[in-house]
Amino acid sequence: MKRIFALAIALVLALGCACVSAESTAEPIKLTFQRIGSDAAEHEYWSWVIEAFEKENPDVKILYDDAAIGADMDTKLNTLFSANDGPDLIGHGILSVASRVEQGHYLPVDDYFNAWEGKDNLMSSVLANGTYKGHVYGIGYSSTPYVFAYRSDLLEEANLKVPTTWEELAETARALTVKNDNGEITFSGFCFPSAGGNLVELDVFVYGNGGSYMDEESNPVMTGDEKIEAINFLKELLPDVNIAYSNSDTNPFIKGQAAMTLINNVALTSMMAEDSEYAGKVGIALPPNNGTEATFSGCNMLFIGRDCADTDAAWRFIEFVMTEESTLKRAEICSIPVTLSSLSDEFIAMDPWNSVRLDCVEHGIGMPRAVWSPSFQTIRNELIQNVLFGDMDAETALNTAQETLEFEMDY
Amino acid sequence: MNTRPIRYDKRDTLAAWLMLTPFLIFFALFVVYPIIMNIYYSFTNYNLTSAKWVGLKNYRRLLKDNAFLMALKNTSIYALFSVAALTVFGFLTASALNREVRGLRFIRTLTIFPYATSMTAVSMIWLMLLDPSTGLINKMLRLVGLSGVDWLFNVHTALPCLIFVNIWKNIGYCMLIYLAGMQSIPVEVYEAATVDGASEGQKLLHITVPMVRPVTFFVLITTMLESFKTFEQVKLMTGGDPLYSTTTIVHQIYQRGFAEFKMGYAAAMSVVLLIIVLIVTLINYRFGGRTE
Repeated sequence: MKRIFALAIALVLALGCACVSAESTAEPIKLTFQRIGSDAAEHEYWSWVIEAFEKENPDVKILYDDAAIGADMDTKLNTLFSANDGPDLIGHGILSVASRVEQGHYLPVDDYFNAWEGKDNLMSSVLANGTYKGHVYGIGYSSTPYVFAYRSDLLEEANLKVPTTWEELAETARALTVKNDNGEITFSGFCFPSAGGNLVELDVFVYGNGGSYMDEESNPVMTGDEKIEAINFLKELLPDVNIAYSNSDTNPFIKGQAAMTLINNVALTSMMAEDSEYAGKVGIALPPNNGTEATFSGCNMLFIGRDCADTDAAWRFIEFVMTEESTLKRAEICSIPVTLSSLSDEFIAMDPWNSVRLDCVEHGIGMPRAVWSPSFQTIRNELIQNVLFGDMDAETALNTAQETLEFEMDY
Repeated sequence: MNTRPIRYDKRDTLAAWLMLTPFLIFFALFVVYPIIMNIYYSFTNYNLTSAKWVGLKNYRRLLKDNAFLMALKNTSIYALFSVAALTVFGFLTASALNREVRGLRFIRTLTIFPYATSMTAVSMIWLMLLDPSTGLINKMLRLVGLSGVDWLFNVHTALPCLIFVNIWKNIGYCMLIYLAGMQSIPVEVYEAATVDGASEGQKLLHITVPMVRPVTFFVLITTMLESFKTFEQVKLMTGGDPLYSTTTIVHQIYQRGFAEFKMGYAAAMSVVLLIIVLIVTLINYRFGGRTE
């Protein structure tokens, strides 16, 4: 009897162990994924791509989270990395590359990249964004250019053409601005943010005047005539045509309070998708310039995090996101320019605006890829505010910005 | 009067220490240890991955850092005006509402509402109200023929707006504390004063004010500490803009530590904040805590 009892117990234990072991082998690999940006269109796309990936790769589960652009994303990442619990996969912008590589938060993916079949299809400018000190870290999945958006109905009504130069921009903006009896601007001819997280709108003017913030040795260059001209142009124009707003709030153009603006392509896409009132009344173009066709264009990339336990599975996800099917789906949902050369024509055929979007990517310049980039963002904002609110002249403001940036680099 | 301290036997003392132990462990782990580590990091260039000893460099930087100096100035102005207004208006509101008149209970409840709302919600509401083009306040100004103001985009009006919102939100709290203090004053004292022919103003000045002094001390300490810790409001309403005119010390700590990875530098800022708060609290204890 005792023997039978012992055998029964042994059998139960063996079965139990077998079940536990079967369960543990069936447990999927869990990859945490933290992405920058919290807009609805992107969220819809990532939900789709994760579901499709998990269907094709049942052994991997993606735990997705996103955070707003700016300090929110970095705060989240820093907290996770300081707890040695950084995300396995990170979707972040150019600004993060140098500083996070230097801190060891991103892993180099050269081996995976070199073995990847689709590597030659990735646009070279996109690849450059994720490359740092000769190593590939980020694979660009989206270019986020700033486009010049205008109300075509108002331009037509006023018999004006789409401005292509600074002079034309100033003239058109003044013509379309509406003021009340007190001289207050009630409808902005051209709106430009007064505050907010990252005033890249200034960069559009600096780049459009042939300027740059970084020299060949990756040192910051905040001074220069082209920047003085750009800032002086804005200082003269904005008081006549602008409504104050923060970059963290909704752009007045989206609220129907402005005729022209510089806007992130994704934000504009959301506006057009949500509000049919603007259908056929809005147009986009490469921003007006002063001799150099250029705009700001961010690039979001996928990185493998330092704390990633299964880099093979993480790369599998990156490859899946970078397939032609996923890329086209992204372009369809978010109207984000494709980053694969083979899809350019198909992308242009999807929407009449897409050729402009691609043009903006081609002429796009991103944030400086340097360790001082996080400080640059704050100092550049301070620079423009010094001129617009602080009554500082452009040259003094630029010199102050250079000094402050050098001071910050000395940490 | 016997002023000799009460002597406890060893068993009572041991029991007291045993009962205190859980709190002391918690206090040591989550308060004392982080403070010590923070002070240590303030002498390093800690950037989340490595920390090298840099001596007093972070503290020397603070003296040259325009953003920090602005934050120091803004925090002081914010605390000074907030605390003064909250104490005075909290006291006056409580005095006005400290009577049994029909409908006053409802008004008391209404006054508490903003305090019961989170600062995040309050900030978002005021952000909408103060919007230069679509905000209700500018619309009302325009309705009476005045020009709108760029409230949160003007270096001269942005900080006063934040102070006003803080006062609006917290006045109910101060009123409540004062009200509790006023209701504990014996009615006989007021009755005696009335018999002696004292006016309402005299009673307020010579009875209420001195007798709620411990409450005033409490209100001063709590509102002062809250003011020095201000962060959500700044983060949500202005982000420290325009031109650092609304940045505060805690906002700078967050900015330097979490957005720019300069944890050692942020630690130095928080040590300065700790010292300021400590000094202000000691001054309050020294001069405000006297109840005799």
